[in-house]
Amino acid sequence: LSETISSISEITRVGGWALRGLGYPFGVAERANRLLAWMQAVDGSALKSIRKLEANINASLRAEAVKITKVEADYHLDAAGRHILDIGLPVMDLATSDARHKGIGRAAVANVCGLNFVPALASLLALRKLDGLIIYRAGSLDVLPNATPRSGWISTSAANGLSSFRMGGLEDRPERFVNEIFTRAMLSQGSPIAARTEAIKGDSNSNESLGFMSITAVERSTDQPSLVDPQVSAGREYDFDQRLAIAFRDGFSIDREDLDYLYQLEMRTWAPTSERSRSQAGYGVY
Amino acid sequence: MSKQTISHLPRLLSETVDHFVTPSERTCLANALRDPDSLMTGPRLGAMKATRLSFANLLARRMINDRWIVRRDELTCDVDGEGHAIYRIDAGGHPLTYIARCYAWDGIEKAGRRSDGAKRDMFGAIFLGSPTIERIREEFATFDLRDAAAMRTRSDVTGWTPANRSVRYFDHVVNALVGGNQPDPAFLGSGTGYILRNGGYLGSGRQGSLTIDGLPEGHPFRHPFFADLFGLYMVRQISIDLVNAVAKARNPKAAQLRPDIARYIGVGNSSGQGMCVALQRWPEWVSAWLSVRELALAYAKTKPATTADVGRLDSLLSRACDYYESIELHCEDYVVPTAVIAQNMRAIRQWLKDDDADRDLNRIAEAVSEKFDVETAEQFNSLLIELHPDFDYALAGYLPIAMRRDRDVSPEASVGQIRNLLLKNYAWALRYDLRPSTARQYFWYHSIDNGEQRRGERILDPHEEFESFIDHIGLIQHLCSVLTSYDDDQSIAEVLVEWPDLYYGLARVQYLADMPYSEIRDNLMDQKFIPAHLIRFFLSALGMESTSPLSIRYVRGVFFQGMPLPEELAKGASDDWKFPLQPKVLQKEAEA
Repeated sequence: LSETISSISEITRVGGWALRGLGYPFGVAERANRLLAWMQAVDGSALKSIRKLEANINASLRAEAVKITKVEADYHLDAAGRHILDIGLPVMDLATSDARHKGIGRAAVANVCGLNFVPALASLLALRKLDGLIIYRAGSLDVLPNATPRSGWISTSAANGLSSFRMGGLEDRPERFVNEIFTRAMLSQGSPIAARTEAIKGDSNSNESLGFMSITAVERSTDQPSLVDPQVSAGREYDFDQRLAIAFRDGFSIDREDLDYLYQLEMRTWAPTSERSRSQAGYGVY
Repeated sequence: MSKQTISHLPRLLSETVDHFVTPSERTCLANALRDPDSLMTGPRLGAMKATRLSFANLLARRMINDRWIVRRDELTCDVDGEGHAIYRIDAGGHPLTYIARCYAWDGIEKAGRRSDGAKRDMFGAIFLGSPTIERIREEFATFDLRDAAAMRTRSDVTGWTPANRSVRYFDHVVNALVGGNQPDPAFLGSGTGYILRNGGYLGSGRQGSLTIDGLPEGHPFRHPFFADLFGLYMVRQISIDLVNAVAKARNPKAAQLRPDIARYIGVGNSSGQGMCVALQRWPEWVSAWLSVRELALAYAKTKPATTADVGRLDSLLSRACDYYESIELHCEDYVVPTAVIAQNMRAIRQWLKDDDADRDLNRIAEAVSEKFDVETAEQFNSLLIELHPDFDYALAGYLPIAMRRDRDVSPEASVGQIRNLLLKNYAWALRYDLRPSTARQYFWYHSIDNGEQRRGERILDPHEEFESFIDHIGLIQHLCSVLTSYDDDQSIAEVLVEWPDLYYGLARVQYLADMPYSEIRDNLMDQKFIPAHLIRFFLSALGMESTSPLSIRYVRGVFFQGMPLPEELAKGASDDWKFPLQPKVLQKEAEA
């Protein structure tokens, strides 16, 4: 059988260990596991993309330290090839922290892979009851699901306790994006020109195979307009909460190859057996 | 410490307490709460016994109150027990279907829960609703694959219930019935009273089964452990029905189990070190269980006892005494012998009789604690909790809420704030000396043998890089030392960029800040640490009455011994079924 049914709990239960099998330390794996399960349930791309990028992920575990600089209110990070599973959440934390303290927070990361996980990051912004806009440009390494633009944006709004998501591409009409999508709320806080430029055109220091992501998080207030005006954004609305609810209720289809890969990763963390090992098993009186 | 603990009770618990006590009584209650530093050690936790707030007891109460109907629609089996069964269940208005596929014994006694893969003596499945016959056949066919890697299910199944025979007891019961007799209850009691053993519930998403969040609101299985434990109840039921059916297949005139003996049969369970790891990874579970338990206990100790309360306590002591006298543990190396607990229970009964006017249960509990061993003291405490069901059940509503904590980090917190939390809540961990090699002697890991959790010695065994998380003390110390290199006013978001692995520690310190009784004050890596203590604690929280460690890493016991049978549930049964008396052998049967 090429497909089977899996569940969010199954991915979560095995995923933490699988990510350790991939090489991530416990704390990182525990955290990234949430992105893994969410993304697999919502669009089925997570495991396939990790399988494709495994060698790069492995290399990134030995990458030089993340470089972080702060220019005015914006954080800029160089991920040195790290995956979103690894660096995406800390970038989100920087934006969240400033948003909660100052009303708005911005952080951007260059030389990153795994940008198909961007919607999962946006979902976390919504869980944190923040409005957000993530702009990304995927490098050539990334495998994106069909119809997902290689350069695009996703916005989330947490109004009235409900989260809503819109996604769109940048490739076909960057100028319109620049002119129309950013709303008063963003512009009043200073225009993130650098982020837009890098997302759309690439940066001279960027590696073509790696991508870029910029997160803007805003503490929601009732009288504030959405970060992205749905009337002009030309993006499409996505009901991820509904997809997730269906995944919880019905499970979801998964390629057997991907599920087997998840378990193979987990089993890398299992120690070979031996007489000595068996003597430390539970059963029996020792 | 106690006052500080109750002042920080989570809102729901605090409101419940206020509903039952006056402000002055609340102060007494706070003073009676036990200090987490002394309560939360392995030996003390391991001595705790099941209460009406344990999960099996809470499930049983729901089944009894809502008069769940468990109706056997079909059971066919041959003389070896090869066959299948189908049960239809009305779980208080929620239809379920339980199916069981039983296999002839293959000559192998399967002792471990994880050690036998898919080759079990029985596989069951709980369906939501009423599946078609075709769907049931499909599930039976899946069981018949007997290949763990190939066996998959779907979200209409909440879980599978593999189980294995205790061949000795299974054969004893069947042979007795075939001969027209009843089994010997004392012989069953010598094995703590079971025929089938839990083979490890495979639900909550495993093999593609339903995730708990996928259940509709109000469904009983949305409660933690209720689906797992109902699966065990059904394993117990199939064990009873199976021995009756096998006996009938061998001899149409065979006897059938007498109801009191059937009720005395529980379902066996063995648990290993994985339970300790679970407690370390989900300290919010520990906090939820202990917060309600300790509040219930403090309430029982401080509430003036009526004559009826003392009478009820005496009755419970009497039953506990009889129960402990009737069971035999396979190994008493790591426990207080049941005979000693029984003897102590008898002595406490005498105290109550000697001073009938003394209704200060707090004073009696203190005297029990001073005079007797820790297991006797905790058994007495568990009996005290039985006295005030209204308060207990009001507290129980907190369990499913508290066990599901959002573990996201709050990245806007400053380093200074985290430092303060560490000093306030983790002084015990920061002062713990992890430098001696014996303090870090063991790491825990999963073995290639079905992922079983085992221990290895750091200086000898390989695979340390994949150790299971058990070192919460080291985690806290590492976090604290890293934070010393940051300024107080820096945000932890900045720390997380440079130290992403610290996420788990930072989140843990934050989300447990308002949860008393969450962190175990013991070092699981230490040479002297005995995992059985924490395994016993977990099993008691689940509702196992008498836990029996076979080794320092492996604990056995039974669930649902004495629990009303399906026909009794339907008619309306009492939820006072703890400590079942061992049935007597009738004279005629004894002669036979």
